[in-house]
Amino acid sequence: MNILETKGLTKSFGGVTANSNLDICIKKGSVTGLIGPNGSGKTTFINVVSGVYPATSGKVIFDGKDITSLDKYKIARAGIARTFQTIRLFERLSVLETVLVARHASYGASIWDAVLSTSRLRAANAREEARAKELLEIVGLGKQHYDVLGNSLPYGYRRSLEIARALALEPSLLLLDEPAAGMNREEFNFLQEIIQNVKQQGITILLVEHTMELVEAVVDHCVVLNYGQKLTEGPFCDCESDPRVIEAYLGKEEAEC
Amino acid sequence: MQRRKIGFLIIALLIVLYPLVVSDSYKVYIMNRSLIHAIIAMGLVTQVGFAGQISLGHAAFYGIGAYTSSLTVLKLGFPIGLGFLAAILLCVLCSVFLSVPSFKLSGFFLSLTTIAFGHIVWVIIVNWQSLTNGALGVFGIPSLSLFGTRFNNTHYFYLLVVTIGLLYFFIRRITNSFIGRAFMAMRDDELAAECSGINTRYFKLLAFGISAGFAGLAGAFYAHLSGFISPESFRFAESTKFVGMAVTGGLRHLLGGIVGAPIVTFLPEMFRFPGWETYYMMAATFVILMIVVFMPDGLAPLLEKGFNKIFGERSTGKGGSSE
Repeated sequence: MNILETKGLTKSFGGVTANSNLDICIKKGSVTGLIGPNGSGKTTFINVVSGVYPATSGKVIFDGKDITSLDKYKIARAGIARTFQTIRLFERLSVLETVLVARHASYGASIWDAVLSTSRLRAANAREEARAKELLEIVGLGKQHYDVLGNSLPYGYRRSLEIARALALEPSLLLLDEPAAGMNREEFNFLQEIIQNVKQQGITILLVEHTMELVEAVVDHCVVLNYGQKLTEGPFCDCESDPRVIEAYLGKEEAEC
Repeated sequence: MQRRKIGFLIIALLIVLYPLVVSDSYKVYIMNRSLIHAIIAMGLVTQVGFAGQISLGHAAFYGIGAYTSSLTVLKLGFPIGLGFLAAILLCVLCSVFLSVPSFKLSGFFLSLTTIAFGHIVWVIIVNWQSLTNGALGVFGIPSLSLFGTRFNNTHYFYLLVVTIGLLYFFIRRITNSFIGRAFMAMRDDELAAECSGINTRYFKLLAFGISAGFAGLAGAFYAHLSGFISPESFRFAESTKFVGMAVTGGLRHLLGGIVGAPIVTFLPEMFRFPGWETYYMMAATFVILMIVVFMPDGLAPLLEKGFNKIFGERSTGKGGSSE
């Protein structure tokens, strides 16, 4: 069963068509890799699916429902969480608070609960904090990190925190936009572990990545984009050896000689 | 812990004794005016400092509040309490209009929109003569009274202190809760907040609504305290003064407004040296400028630190102390 389907999805910026007529299906529970050379429209695809950019035409179907024109926050609450290519944390919020932001919808309390500090609010606080701590543990952040500012963490941990914040939405689909970019070996290995771990919890993942080692290690299925169009799809080993893919990445052999 | 209590007690005692020690009723009146401004500055701390939505048009809400309360009382015969309520409600309603542009705009562009809003309201007040009496203003606004005694400056002082205490309690509870966290997330990165399931439109409406309600309440207080209002009190310069108070006190500190308003109000008075009266405003402005440049976090965090040094650190929690 497909958790996400796009039908004829097109996004253009003025004269530039960043995504052109894309039909992409993502199987529930799978890890799908979205690869392609720079400027092929991978990040645009994530931005359109998560509602950051409105689609020019076409449809995004998530879990059987059309979500094409929904607000970003509604898409997030419906179960599509994402991380950003350049990490976007909240400048003045601590690690624990950052994760709690994404728990907002689960509080089930109103502004008056906050003003009157009702037992409902206190119960929600305790419940959500416990959940946030669980999520932080999954991505390798411990007690000593709870109260420091998110942005003061080392690079790899900042990535982890972003993933924890995304997981805090209890998503069924997680969009990861180049999570391994700029990571050292140790951070890279740990990221791989996190992704496997998330997958085991039944969360579907769409991974945009340039580090082929990571793609090879974690993905079940691969979609290759080039100039905003789908070039091919299939298992990673097939895509990797496809001459069209190699050409898209490296150019034609004749041209090089 | 005991030492902290003593600290709070000393501060409370100073506040209670203030109007009794300062015999000059005019000084208490000026203090009341500054406390009224503190209410607006507190609203701005919530809206600008916590929710990140700039407003340079709050004199408009101050004016709407002042005119609503005085006109409903004078023309419709409302009891003053109801006039206060009408002032707050109308301001919250108007804030909905102002917050709509904030859905699309931020920073510089939003500040321009709020300036325009302030001017529009001011022009309406000046020109709708049949209702507002235009530039001449509204006279004979009745003062608050309780059990037949008309409030004097001392009564107003205590009433304002209690009101500010309650409002402080209100915004402290909100900003320390999941709602305040949503405000701050929206302020720090709107896109990331929305992708984390935060409905930023709702929180912009809420932030504008809270601070407009505060400004409306302040306007009603001002009208009944001074007995006379005219459009002059609600010009653009006032809007910038309110923001200046919030920034001087500490834009991101819960006590920012309460600390900033009296300082910005009384600082000019300290520079009235005999023979140099012409320059007192310049000197005061210069000092405020220096505070903003060298202490961008404002004076409230500094005072809090000082308080903690003398009376001991609190073991848990963060943010402001109490009144």
